[in-house]
Amino acid sequence: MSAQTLPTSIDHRRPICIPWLMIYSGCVIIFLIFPIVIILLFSFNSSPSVSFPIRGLSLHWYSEIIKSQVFLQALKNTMLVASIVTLLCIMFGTLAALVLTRFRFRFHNAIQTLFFLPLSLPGLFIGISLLSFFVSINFKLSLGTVIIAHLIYTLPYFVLVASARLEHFDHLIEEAAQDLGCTSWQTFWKVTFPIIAPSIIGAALVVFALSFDEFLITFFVIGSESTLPMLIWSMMRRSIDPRVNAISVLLMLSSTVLIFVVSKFVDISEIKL
Amino acid sequence: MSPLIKDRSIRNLNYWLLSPSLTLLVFFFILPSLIFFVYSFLTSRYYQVEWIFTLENYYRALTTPVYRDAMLNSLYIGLLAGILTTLISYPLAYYLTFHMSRGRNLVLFLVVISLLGSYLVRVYAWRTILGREGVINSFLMMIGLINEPLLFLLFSRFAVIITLVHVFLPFTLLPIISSLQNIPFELIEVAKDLGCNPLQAFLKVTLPLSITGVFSGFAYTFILSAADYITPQLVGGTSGGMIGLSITNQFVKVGNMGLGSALSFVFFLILIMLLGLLRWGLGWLVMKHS
Repeated sequence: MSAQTLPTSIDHRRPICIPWLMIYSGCVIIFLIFPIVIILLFSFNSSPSVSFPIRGLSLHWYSEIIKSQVFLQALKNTMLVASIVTLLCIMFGTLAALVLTRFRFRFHNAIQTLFFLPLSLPGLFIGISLLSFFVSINFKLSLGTVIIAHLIYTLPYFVLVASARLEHFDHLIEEAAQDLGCTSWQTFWKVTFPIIAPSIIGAALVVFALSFDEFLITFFVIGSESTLPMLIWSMMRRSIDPRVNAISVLLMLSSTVLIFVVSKFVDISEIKL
Repeated sequence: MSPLIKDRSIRNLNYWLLSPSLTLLVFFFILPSLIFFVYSFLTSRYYQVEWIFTLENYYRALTTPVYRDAMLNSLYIGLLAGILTTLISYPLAYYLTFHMSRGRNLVLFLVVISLLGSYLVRVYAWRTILGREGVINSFLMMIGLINEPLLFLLFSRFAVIITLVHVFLPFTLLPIISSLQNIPFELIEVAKDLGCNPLQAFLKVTLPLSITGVFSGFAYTFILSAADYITPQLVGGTSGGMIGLSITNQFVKVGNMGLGSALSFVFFLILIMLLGLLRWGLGWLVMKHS
């Protein structure tokens, strides 16, 4: 709240360096989106090269991947994994987020650290330790192992996004409901759930987007199956393959749409990393 | 108060509600990490681990010049990427928090998208941009500024660093933004009323109060860059291997998992120690100046 009222109160002694700061910020934002724009541009290029000048525009690469069986299979696997991971995350994560934000108890901080630890570990470590684990118990690598790995990786993000709103939750509303004769079950479904539902949906969509795009961990635990990021990886290692641009655009488009929907449910400026 | 009466039952209920996710984390996060650690003390050959205790993995990890160089190179790249992202992020985060009202959510939206999505796509984009026949070279040749493609752009340390800075910039930006948002605005005003000029107010109030965000932002990029194994493969070429790639190869190509684990733990320990040192140093600096 206070952050939004800042600009007006600081304006009257605006230092001289602010215009420079504005130009600078513009440059950084351009740096951030420039590569994405390039990929978008070349995905419509009619020639297979990725150099200027662009000879003509076409949807050739898109139509080629949509017809490709390998792409469709990878898309199916990716959707399957992301959906299951999201569902499991909602089940596990909602309870965790509720408990961690509203109660203080013994081992609270230790448990909280454990929850957020995977967030600050590189994918390499999570991927390799899970690989060692699955190999040592002779567990066959498959989409199932990918789901487990994604669950470990996305759970902290889920709790993080879901907690952002839960922290402002007013317990008095629940107590009022109980005073008015609700059972705890009724209180949860009639009062608590409708209030927390938007942040749960937002967090679930974040998890879906993360799982959809995950590569660094998936690489180790996927075995012989394929997902979209794995497909992109196998295609771009060989040579310059213009179809990669088209798949990349589809992948980015889906995460953009997802995050856009997320921003309708949770205030993204409240997501604290 | 009712919470006091219900205290014990609520406490037990807490553990029950947490138990699904705790079980998950214990089985698929803590246990694998322990096995990973145990592996580093075992003999392994061709993707098989034998239960013979050995310290040779650590000996090789610490003494083999290739791995030592790869670790140093990774630390160098991680530090540089971390410092650059922090320096680039801070002014933007400052502007966004204190001076931007319109377009603020749009920028945050862009940052969050790049944080959550398309890691691989963005690394790939830089290969497209920096390549021999890539965007920059072909553009410069088209407008006639150069006749030969600039070869230093791709497959160099430069390429690795610019890619990592781009990929992990959101991980540094967000913590800095949120630490700046938490500064009570009145404090900055009070400092100015007490005679600080804007620069002094910034150095004495804003910067020290946002230092935790700066530190965690730096730490994210530092750790994630130093342990990256994809960027060096795609845009780094032969220019100094990074340890993430050596570790990956032990698991995927060579099959010496013991050595791979030992390398990971040695490197991870170095990362943690450096970050601990930095945190202590920053704390000391802030204490001294306030």
